[in-house]
Amino acid sequence: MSILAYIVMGIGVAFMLLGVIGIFKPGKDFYYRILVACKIDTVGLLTLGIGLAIYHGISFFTGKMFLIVIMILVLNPFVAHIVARSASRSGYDSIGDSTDVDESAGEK
Amino acid sequence: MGGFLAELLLLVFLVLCALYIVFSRKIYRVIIFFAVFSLITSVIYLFLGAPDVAMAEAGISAFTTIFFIVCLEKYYSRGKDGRNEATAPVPKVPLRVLLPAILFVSGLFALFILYAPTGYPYTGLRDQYLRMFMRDVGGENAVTAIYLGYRVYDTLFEALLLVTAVVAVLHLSWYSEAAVPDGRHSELEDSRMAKFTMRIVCPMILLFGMYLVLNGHISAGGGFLGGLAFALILICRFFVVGIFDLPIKKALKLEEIVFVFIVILPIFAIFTGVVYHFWGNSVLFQTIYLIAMNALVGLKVAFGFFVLFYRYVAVERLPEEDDTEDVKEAG
Amino acid sequence: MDFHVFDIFPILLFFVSIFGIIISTNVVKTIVLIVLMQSAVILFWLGVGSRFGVHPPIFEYFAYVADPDAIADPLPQALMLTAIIIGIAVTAISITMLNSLFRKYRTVQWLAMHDAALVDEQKNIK
Repeated sequence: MSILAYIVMGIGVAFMLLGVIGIFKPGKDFYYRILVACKIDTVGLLTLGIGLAIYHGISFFTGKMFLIVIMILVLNPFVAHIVARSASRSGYDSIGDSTDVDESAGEK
Repeated sequence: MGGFLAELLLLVFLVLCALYIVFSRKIYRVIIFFAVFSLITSVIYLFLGAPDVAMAEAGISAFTTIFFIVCLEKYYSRGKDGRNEATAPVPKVPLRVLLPAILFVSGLFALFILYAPTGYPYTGLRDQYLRMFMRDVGGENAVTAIYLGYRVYDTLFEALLLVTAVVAVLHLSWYSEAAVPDGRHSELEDSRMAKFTMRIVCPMILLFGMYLVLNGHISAGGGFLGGLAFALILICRFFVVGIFDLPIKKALKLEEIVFVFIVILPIFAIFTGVVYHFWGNSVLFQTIYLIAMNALVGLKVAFGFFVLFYRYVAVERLPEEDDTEDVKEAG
Repeated sequence: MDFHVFDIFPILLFFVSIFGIIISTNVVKTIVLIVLMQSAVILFWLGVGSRFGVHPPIFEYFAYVADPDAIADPLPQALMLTAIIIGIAVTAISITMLNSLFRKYRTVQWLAMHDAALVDEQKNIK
C-alpha cells in the first residue's frame, strides 16, 4: 500500500516540477504562465493529497484529506479563471510580451 | 542538521523578502512580497510547534493583503491633477539620508547583539501550565487553556480592542452612494461559474469554521480562526454576488451584544468561582465553558471582521477630485 | 558568543524594518513595514529558546515525547495569538486614517503631504 502511495506522490511532485519549469520558461506570455501555474496547483496538489490519503489508510485523516482534495479540485481552476478573466478585462493583450501586467495594464 | 538547514533557509528568505520590501520602488510589488513574507512566517510558526499562531497568521495575511490592494485601488488617478498615486514610483532616497540611516540602524543592531541576554528565560511557568492545565481549565489544548482560562483578561481586552477598531473605522471612513454604479454590484455577478463554485465552497468553509470552533479546546484552532472562516464566507459572497444592502449597523450591534456575553461568561465561570462552588472541577462544565467561549469569540471575530471588510473594502470609495458632495456621514 | 539563529534573525528583521521606516517616503510602505516589525517581534517571542521540530502543546502529542523540553511553550503562543488580532486592528485603522489623509491632501507621499499641510497652515494664519 505504501509503495502505491509513494508512486502517486511521486507523480504529483513530477507534475509540480514540470509546472515550475514551465513557469520560468523564457519567452512565454502571461496566459501561458497562468495555464501552467493552475496545473501545478490542481494536478500536483491533488495527486499529492490522494497519495497522502492512500498512505494513511482509512481513518479520520483520510476524510479530512478528501474534503481538502474536493476544495482544491473546485477552487484552483476557478481562481486561475478569475485571474485570466480579470487580466483579459483589463485590456491586457499578451502577444509577444512577457513582462508584468500589474503596473502597465490596469486602466481605471 | 537537516532541521537547522531548513530553518536557516526559511529565515534567510524572510530577510531577503524584507530587504526587497525596503528597497523596492513599486508599491504593488511591496504588497505581493508582503504576502510572501507572511506565508513564510506562517510556515516557520508551524515548525516551531505553534499551529494556532500559524493558522491565524495565514488567515490574517490574506485579509491584510486584500486590504492593501483595495487601498491601492482607491488611489488610481485620484491624486492631485489626476496623478496616479497607486503606481507612481517611489522617489529615490538620496545618499545623505541613506548613509546615516544605515549607520544608526547597524549601530543599534550591534549594541543589541553585544548586550542582549542569551539563553532560555526559565520561569517555571511553562512546566506549571503543561502539568496543570487539564485539571485547572480543561480541554486538551494548552494554548486555548491559557487564553480562555489563565489569562482570560487578555482575551477580554483584545475583544474590546477589536470593537474599538471597528467603531473607529466606521467613524473615520466615508460612505459614498457612488459605490453602486448602474445597478451592478460585482464584476462576477453574471458569471455562472462563480456562482456554482460558491455553492460548493461556502458550505465547506462553514463546515471548516464549525470544526475549528467546536474542536478548539481539543486541537489547534479556536474562536479566532473559526471567526475568520465565518467572515470569509461573507466576503466570498460579497465578491461573487455583491450584496450591498446588508444592515451594517445591525452587525455592529450584534458584535457589541456578543462582547457583553464574552464578558459575562468568565465572570460566572472563572472570576467569582460560582461554577466551581457548585460543581467543582467538573469536566462537563469545563468543556461547556470552553466551547461556549470559543463560539462567542468566533461570532464576535466574524462580525467584527465582516464590518471592517464591508465598510472598508466594499462601501468606501474615495470620490474624484471635484465631486465631494455625494458623501453621507453614516451607513 | 553562543547564538541561536532565532536570537539573531528576528532582531535583524526588526532593525531592517526600522531602517525601511526611516528611509521610506510612501505611507503605504510605512504601514507595510510596521506590520513587518510586528511579525519580527512575534517571531522573536515564539523562537526564543525554541527549536525546529518541537511538538505543539496539545495533549495528543504528549504521548510521543519523552522529555518535556520537546514540547513548545504555550504561553508565548497564547500571547502572540492575541497580538496578531490586535495587529490587524491596528492595520485597518492605519489604512483608514491614510484614506482620510488622502482625501484631504490627495497624495500618499510623506513629503508632499507635509508641504500641503504647511501651505494649509499658512493659509490659516493669513
